[in-house]
Amino acid sequence: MIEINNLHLTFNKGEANEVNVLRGINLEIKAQEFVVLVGANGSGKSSLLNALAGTVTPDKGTIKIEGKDITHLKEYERSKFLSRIFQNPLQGTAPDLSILDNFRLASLRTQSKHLHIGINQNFKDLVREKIRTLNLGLEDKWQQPMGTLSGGQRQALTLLMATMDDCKIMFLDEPTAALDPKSSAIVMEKANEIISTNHLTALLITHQLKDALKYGNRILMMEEGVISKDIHSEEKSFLKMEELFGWF
Amino acid sequence: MDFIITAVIQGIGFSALGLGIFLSLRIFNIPDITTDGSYTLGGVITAICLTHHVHPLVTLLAALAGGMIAGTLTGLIHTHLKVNALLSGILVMTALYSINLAILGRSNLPLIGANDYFGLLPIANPFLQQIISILLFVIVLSLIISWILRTDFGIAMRATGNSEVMVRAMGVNTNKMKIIGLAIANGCTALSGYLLTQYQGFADINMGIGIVISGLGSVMVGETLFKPLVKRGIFFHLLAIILGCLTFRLILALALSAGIDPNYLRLITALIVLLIVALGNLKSWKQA
Ligand SMILES: Nc1ncnc2c1ncn2[C@@H]1O[C@H](COP(=O)(O)OP(=O)(O)OP(=O)(O)O)[C@@H](O)[C@H]1O
Ligand SMILES: [Mg+2]
Repeated sequence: MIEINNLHLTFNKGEANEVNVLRGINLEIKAQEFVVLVGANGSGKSSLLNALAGTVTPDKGTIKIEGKDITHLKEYERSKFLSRIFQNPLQGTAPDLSILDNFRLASLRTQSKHLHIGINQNFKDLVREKIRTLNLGLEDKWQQPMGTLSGGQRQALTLLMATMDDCKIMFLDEPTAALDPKSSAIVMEKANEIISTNHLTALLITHQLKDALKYGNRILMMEEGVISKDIHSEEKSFLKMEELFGWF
Repeated sequence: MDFIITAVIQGIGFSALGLGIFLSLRIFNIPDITTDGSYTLGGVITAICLTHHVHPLVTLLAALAGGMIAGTLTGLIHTHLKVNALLSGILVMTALYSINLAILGRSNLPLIGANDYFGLLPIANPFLQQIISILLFVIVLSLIISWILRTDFGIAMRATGNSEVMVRAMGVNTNKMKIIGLAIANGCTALSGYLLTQYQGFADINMGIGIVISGLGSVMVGETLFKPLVKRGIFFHLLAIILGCLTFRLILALALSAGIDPNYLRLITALIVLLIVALGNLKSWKQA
């Protein structure tokens, strides 16, 4: 599904504060794999994800999705292949637009946005039904601006928005870092449910070792720009908290 | 009483510009300075076309196209040459001064004897003719813009200024959106130039100086005074802006009739905008 070959990324190249953030990443992620990525602050996890999503341009190496080389595609062109959930709930949604407008945009993630009024009664009903499945009591608030919701509510809606259009790959960069423990648990459960029922290939970055153990079927450790550990399904299920803790 | 009627007609005529400022403000989060130049450009094109007996509706399209080209240039400079948006607008506005002068061939051109847009409406009373045709114009324009903003394309455009990261993740080419948005915004502005040139009966090379600030002031007055409208959806939001343009002109007209020297008009304009911005900031400062 995702093939990364010898990926290198340097910030501030040729300057005194040059940092080699990614130093030769080789990684293959199979369809429907749910990969958890852990590692110390600054080890390059977000940078890897940003390089895959096209927010930053690598110096060297290739990225393929479903066999197609996407290394040179722009960020907005790559969004055809992948959905992103950001650490900051503010980044995944447009705060001044209504919940409904946000969902409409999300429903066209892989398509072009025409001069055509797409929000009709059917669409409204569809969104309300989707939101009802969250059980957060938000289904009657679809006319409100997104910015009037809490971070946890917005993050839950962002997850749902990802499924409004054809979605095979989902990237989640610390999706619960800004949330309280209860909202974190709800959002992680929802994410897991959406990933498994939609058979998504997912890449989750987290500092919550409990979540790293509980969710996903593969775990990767990053250290100073390289992948230092890679543990697959059965082995991962035997992984203990103490052992994982010892990695850091 | 006459000055009130004049202020009302001018206010409605300026609402095309107000709608343009509203668009660029929402897309860039900053005022688009190109406005000063594209307003004059609209006026200059109108005067040249009408004095050459071009049909008023063809003239309208020419003015619209002129403004859209100006906006496209600002957008291209900002997105492709990575020039700060404010500076991009100033650059195009400055260049337009020379271009407008070149098109007009002189600093002022009266429209004596030319057929104009108002004449298209068969009403004998010239005052009624002007106010009805200018109202029709602005109603149609705001219906078109509110329709565009409610389409899928319009949602993407509104979201671009609101959360660029999100919009790119939704597969939108934000550079393209900004260029198209600025083109539409400056097209609207040029349409105000089209209307006002015909209302005042001449185009002048300096007619656009400082117009961006009065446009900005009108949008802010509208959104502040008519807040309940703003919350009722896009069409009503645009209506609030039109009412803002009207109120703004009325304030200026009242100031003039109270005996204030016309030379101080720009000072008053700047103070009104300052007052509204400062009040907004003080309010959020209190809440924080
Ligand atoms: N735009 C940038 N310009 C310069 N340096 C950067 C930039 N983005 C990240 N870095 C640097 O790259 C390194 C890796 O950052 P990255 O955000 O990928 O780490 P991370 O593993 O996600 O850390 P965290 O767990 O804190 O989120 C850090 O040293 C960071 O300072
Ligand atoms: Mg990070």
